Amino acid sequence: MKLNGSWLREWFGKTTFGILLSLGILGALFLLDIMLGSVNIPLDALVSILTGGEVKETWATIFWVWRIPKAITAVFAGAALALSGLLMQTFFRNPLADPYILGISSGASVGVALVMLSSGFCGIGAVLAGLGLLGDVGISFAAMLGAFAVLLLILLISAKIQSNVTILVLGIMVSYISGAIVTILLQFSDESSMHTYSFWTFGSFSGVTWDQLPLLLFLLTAGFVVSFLLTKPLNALLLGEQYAASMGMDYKKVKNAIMVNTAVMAGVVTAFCGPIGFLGVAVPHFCRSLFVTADHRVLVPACVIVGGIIALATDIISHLPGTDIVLPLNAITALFGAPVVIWVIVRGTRFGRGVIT
Amino acid sequence: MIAVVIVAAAAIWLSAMVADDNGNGSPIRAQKNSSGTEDLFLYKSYPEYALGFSIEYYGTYKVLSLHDPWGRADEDYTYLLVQRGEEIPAGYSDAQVFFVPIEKSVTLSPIHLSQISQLDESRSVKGHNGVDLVYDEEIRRLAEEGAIEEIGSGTSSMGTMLNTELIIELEPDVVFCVANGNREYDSHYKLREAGLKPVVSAEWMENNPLGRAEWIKFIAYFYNREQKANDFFEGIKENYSAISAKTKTLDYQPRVFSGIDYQGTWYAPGGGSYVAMLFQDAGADYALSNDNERADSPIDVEVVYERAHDADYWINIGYNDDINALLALDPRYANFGAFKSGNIYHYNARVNAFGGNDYWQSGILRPDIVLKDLVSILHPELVPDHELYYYQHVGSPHGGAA
Amino acid sequence: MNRAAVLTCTNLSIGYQNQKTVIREISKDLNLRLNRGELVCLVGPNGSGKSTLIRTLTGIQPPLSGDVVLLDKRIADHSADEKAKNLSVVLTTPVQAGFMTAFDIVALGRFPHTNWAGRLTDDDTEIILSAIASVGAGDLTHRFIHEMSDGERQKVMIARALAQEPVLMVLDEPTAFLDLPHKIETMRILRSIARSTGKAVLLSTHDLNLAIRCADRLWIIDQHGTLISGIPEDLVLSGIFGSAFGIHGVNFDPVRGEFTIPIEKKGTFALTAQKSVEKIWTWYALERIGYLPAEGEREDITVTIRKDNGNAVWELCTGTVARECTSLAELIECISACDEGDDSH
Repeated sequence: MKLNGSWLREWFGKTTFGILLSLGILGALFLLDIMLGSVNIPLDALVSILTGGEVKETWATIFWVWRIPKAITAVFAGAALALSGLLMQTFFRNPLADPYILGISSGASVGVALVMLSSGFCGIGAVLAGLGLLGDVGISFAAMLGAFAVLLLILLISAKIQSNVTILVLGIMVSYISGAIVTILLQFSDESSMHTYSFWTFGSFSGVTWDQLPLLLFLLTAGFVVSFLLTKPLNALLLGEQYAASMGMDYKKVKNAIMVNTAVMAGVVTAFCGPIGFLGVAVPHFCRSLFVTADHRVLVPACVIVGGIIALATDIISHLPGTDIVLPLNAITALFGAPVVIWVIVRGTRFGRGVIT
Repeated sequence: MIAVVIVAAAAIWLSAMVADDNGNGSPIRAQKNSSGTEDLFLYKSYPEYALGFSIEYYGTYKVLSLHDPWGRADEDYTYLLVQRGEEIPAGYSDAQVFFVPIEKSVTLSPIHLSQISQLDESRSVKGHNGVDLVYDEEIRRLAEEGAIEEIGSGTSSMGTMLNTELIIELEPDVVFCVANGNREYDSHYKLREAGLKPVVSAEWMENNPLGRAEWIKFIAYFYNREQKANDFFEGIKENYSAISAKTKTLDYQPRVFSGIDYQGTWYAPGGGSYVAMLFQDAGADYALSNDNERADSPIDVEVVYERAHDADYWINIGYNDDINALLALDPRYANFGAFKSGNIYHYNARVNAFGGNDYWQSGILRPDIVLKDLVSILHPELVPDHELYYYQHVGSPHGGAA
Repeated sequence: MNRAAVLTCTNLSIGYQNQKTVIREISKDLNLRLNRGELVCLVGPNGSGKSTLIRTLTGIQPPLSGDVVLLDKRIADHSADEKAKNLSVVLTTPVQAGFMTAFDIVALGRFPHTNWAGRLTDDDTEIILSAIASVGAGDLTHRFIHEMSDGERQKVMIARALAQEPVLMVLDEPTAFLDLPHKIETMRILRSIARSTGKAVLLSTHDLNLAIRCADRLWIIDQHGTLISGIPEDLVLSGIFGSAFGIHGVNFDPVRGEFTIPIEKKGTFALTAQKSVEKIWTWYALERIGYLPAEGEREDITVTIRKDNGNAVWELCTGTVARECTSLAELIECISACDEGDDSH
């Protein structure tokens, strides 16, 4: 993935053009994601479905019930993860930061594990069932609870302790502790629950239904808007905390806004799609390099669009068009993301160190 | 002339011995086989459908071989079953030695209990992993009386949760295990290290329902209960074949699909799998068998919908108990024709309070009943007197909650 | 002339405070002024409290007692925005930020003056460009900061602080990681900023030599926390440098205005030459090898410099040797050889 190709850079470097081009690519991929899949729906059938014409009934059902929600989810989830990654990388001035660095997905996974694996154990599933939150909804609810519990913990501690390094370490510790809890729960569970939990960890855009979509879209859009409002302080943070404060930025307020925003976006995506990795780390770097800027006024919309593009691409690939099989989404995002991360580390002094002291 | 008399006398003498039939497998008198050495095993049993084991009789001992117990042929297991009181033959340094008939056993899987119970050897079981999950009444009673100890955590199937010390205390002659080939989770490696004698059984590897049931013979070898096993299996085979013969001649084959998805991925049993073979023998058209693979492949839910949206029956719904659970898992299941018509059946008719499902216990031994259940669902006119045993109807006829 | 004060502190006491119990008081009874158009250098040995003073004066750290007043308000009473419009900082370490041009970085200085989106007006752009010009970084404007040298980066950071349009600029050891030419250039830029824009500039530094020559005023803190303020020349004459920095074996030479390594006297010399560069440096060279000028005593060696066709020739005469040397190196070598010869007798 050599982006030394300066012609590519030239195109994207001119910001408006770059954004418009990205939007175009996003649209194209959205179309592809709807058309391609284990069941291929050709373009003319697609048009018939949309215009209410004659079309194979199974295709129409697949289109409305599975494909469209999946494609929309992919766009928003990819955008949200990319944005969260950008926020965390700027805030912690760490090029390897991802949306889960605060421990958000670990907290979510504890919530999910408690529901999926506890059954007889402590009956969390039963409690949720009593509240009317069965099955998939219950799992999403538990995941969000877990994510926000972690956020609360982080906010409380970071109010007392100023250092960013502390927050980082805290996030790592939360991940370890969550991992331990989930392991214990796995130990006591039966095989089919274990399988189900492990399927959850694969990540998927296909699990979101029409009923759930409005909530997802609402929360994530709010996240996008807040991120855009934060572009000025984010730019200031590029120089570091001390400089930012000396320029008049209210560090405490900005810090809390960034963390809450990240937690909401990453937590919601994890709750509905499982823990999807690599998009949050890789897309911001991709955008920085493609648009040749660190200015968040460009990067925020860029990450939203490119995040959506990459998410759609990985979704298309994971559905292996032409075969019946589905590959776990996280495997595909890793295939995309890992080379980008390695490239970042190797190029280190030039591009990677762009965000550290 | 005198030769005839001698032969007749020998024949009478011989038949007198054979006539002693207490059927418990302990030979009263030694036999002589064709090569002239002693043959202590009156009743022999050989696998007909099962591919995972084979047996050789050598007079005073049997050699029981496992083939590829978990689908990756890097280990083969050989068990040397020597009649009590006989010498261990040379030349089997790799094999684990057992003296048969065994007197005390520990079981790690409920299917073993069903098999042992069928062979009338329940009293030999001293410990089991997960007593609560056992459906069999007799075993439960024995456990309550304290004759069978709980040697595991009760619910987990992972070997790391076994109470090895307790097993050692029970001094079993054999510990019947199941294995996956995973050194970390399989019990038999650790049990061997602890000085115990684990035996791995692999009935779950068989795709053929009769082959799976036939593993009762595997257990029978240890108890010298071949005759009982043979009788039992012959009966099953007859029942099964009778029913499957009826379905072969049918014109109408209802379409059937099985399983559930999670977040867009449907783990469907392959066309060559146990489930698929049962469907086939029950006279169904399995909608998801586009290949003869045994394994479950992760199929895109859209593909499943395309193929099975108009299937007549949805049989087996994973870990869900009923329609409400199905809907809660994914409301989009309502799009399937079988859901709308309410023709959903699941094998959870015999589940005890702790979640132990008899389908996976005695059900393995009774593929004939399972088949009858399926035929009763799909072609009720063929088995008018049969009432569903392992299966139950979880979808109401009007498509709403049961 | 009484210049207008930008920052004053009265009876200020600085140090570290931990939950109301004073742990360490570094300096007390400080009464300082920073005036418009003045370049003030803060010097002192390591650990004397320079950073603490800077942090207290910029409002990052609260004082133990006393007040810091920026313009007409106590610094703590300024809102973050107000303070940013009046005070900007440059820190020691040059910033590493990828994909940012010099223009982008300097543009950040307009933070307190732009709207919520950070939009730059034409005025803003003009201010940015002129700030870049003031530091002589015009050709760096569209280059990426991560491709610049440390010296160039610091220039950009100074331009950023300028673009913030404060009345007071505070720099915390801004030249610490720079090489000598860049150190000098930085001081020059800062002095020019103070003079031409009328801003008050405060910087802390270890470069005593530069500070003495460039600053309008020096603040010296010694190890005990005592702060003396004055114009550099007065302070040199007062002999404060020796006592403030007091390291054994290091002296402050008031004539040259710098610290020197004391000379181990080996002998005396008499130097005869015309007033020239060669005379001065011959003097230094002789001092370096341990020879001080003879004063009222008989000299050990005599050196005469004469010009021969434009080249300098050194005539050396010791008690035992008379030589002509064509270079200083030769002269020094000769004297040292004689020394050894003498010693061995």
